[in-house]
Amino acid sequence: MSAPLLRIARLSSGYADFQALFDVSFDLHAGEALALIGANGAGKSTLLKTIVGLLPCASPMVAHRGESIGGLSADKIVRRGIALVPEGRRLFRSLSVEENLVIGGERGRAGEWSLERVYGLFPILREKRQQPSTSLSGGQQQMVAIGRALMANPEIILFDEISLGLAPAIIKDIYAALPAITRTGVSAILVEQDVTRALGFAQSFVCLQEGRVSLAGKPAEHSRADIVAAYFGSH
Amino acid sequence: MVWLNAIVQGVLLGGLYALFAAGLSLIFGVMRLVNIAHGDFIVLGSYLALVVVQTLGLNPLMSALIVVPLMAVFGYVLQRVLLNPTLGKDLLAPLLVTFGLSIIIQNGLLTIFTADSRRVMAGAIETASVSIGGLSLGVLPLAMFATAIAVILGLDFIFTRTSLGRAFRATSEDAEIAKLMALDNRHIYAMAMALSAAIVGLAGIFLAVRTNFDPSTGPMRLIFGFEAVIIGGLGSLWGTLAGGVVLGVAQTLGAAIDPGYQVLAGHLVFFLILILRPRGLFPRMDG
Repeated sequence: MSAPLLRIARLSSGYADFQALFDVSFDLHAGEALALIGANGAGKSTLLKTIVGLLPCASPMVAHRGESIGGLSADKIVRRGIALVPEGRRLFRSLSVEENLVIGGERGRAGEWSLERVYGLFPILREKRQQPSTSLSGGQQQMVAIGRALMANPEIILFDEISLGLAPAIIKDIYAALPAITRTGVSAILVEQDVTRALGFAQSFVCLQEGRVSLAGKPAEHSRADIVAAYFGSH
Repeated sequence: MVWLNAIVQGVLLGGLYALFAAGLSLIFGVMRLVNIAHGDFIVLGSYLALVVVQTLGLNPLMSALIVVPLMAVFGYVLQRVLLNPTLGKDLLAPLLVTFGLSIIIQNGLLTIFTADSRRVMAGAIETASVSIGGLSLGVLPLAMFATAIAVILGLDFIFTRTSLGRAFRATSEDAEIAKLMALDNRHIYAMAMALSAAIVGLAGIFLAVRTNFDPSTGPMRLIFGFEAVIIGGLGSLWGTLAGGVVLGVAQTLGAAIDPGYQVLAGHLVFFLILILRPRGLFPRMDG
């Protein structure tokens, strides 16, 4: 069998004086959408940041297409085709909407995602292309953040807290756009507080509890009670 | 007429100060680095021009073709090798390193060129002038001012219209997210320092032609540059030009009262603006 698209193998990671992840292992296969769920502080964001190289990681723990990428700097990992839509959007305030999108694609890989394609996915952004990114609503900012990541033509896109702080109607719109992204062959890891929504979208999931994998598999394979126990812990 | 003349000469002198200030402002804007050695970089540019003019017999203004690229390479390498490792949350480390660099450059120049004051002769252009409305304007100060405007226009174009400019803005705003745009911060910072050093090269050439210089001249140019940046407002390119002009006019008006007041008048106006408008005349809107 060929190597998985992304393999996380016994990954431990964290910050200078605080270990957030312990021995986390799972695979992401080509074309797959994986939901990463868990309570606040379970280590979900830390895991995404470690994969993309924003947090240090010992080299053999993360492999992309069978090749170790642990220890590479974030810019090199992004060039390999792994993009992160960060928590809280974090658009560049001094750049216009279009500039935010353009800068996402300038040094990425070649591929089918372009300004036109992003505007096709989120038409409202075309109308607001010249506006400062700060003038957009939260949902529109999330669209720019997603478009900015897509512009690099990633093979794997990591969404951190994709719906946090957004109104339910907007969340629906964002989720409606996701299949159009994954249909192009992009694999996704989705960090989400709304477990039902995340499991509805993803083909597989990994549940983290206090930095360890507490449950993993396909949503249909596990009962709701199992997932709740894995999420909150069974005390 | 004396006063009008002093004001016009001050405006033109302001062009030189804007050249001193532009590189300083650029570096602070992109990476929050205060380059204490900036003035010594300028003097280094002056000595470089001196060597180029003496060995190749080039016209001083043409020496820019060699001095500017050399300074840019110097800036790039310096940033990659020495300054990038000092950048982080602590502002003190780069401050100390550039302070040390200032001392090294001054003493290096002292060893090579001695403490004698030097000047680069530019020939007829030094005394050439044009007469406009009864005022006699030197061709050299006019060239200096035009260069300053061209540099500010060029920087404005780079910042607002080019990929490098977007990278500068993005990296200065959020270095972590900039990495997610596949930007290598170390390279972006080095490009900013290269650009700053290239402008410093131009400033060094004009300094060398306009006045005498020696290895200890740098710190005073740093102060003029700082004053222009603060008067104009941190982070504003056109503010930097305005800051240079205000400082230049203050100095020439001071000198018109009494030659001894030239530098003092500049400092007084600087303090006045610091008291009345601490954020400068043109503070950046998104401050």
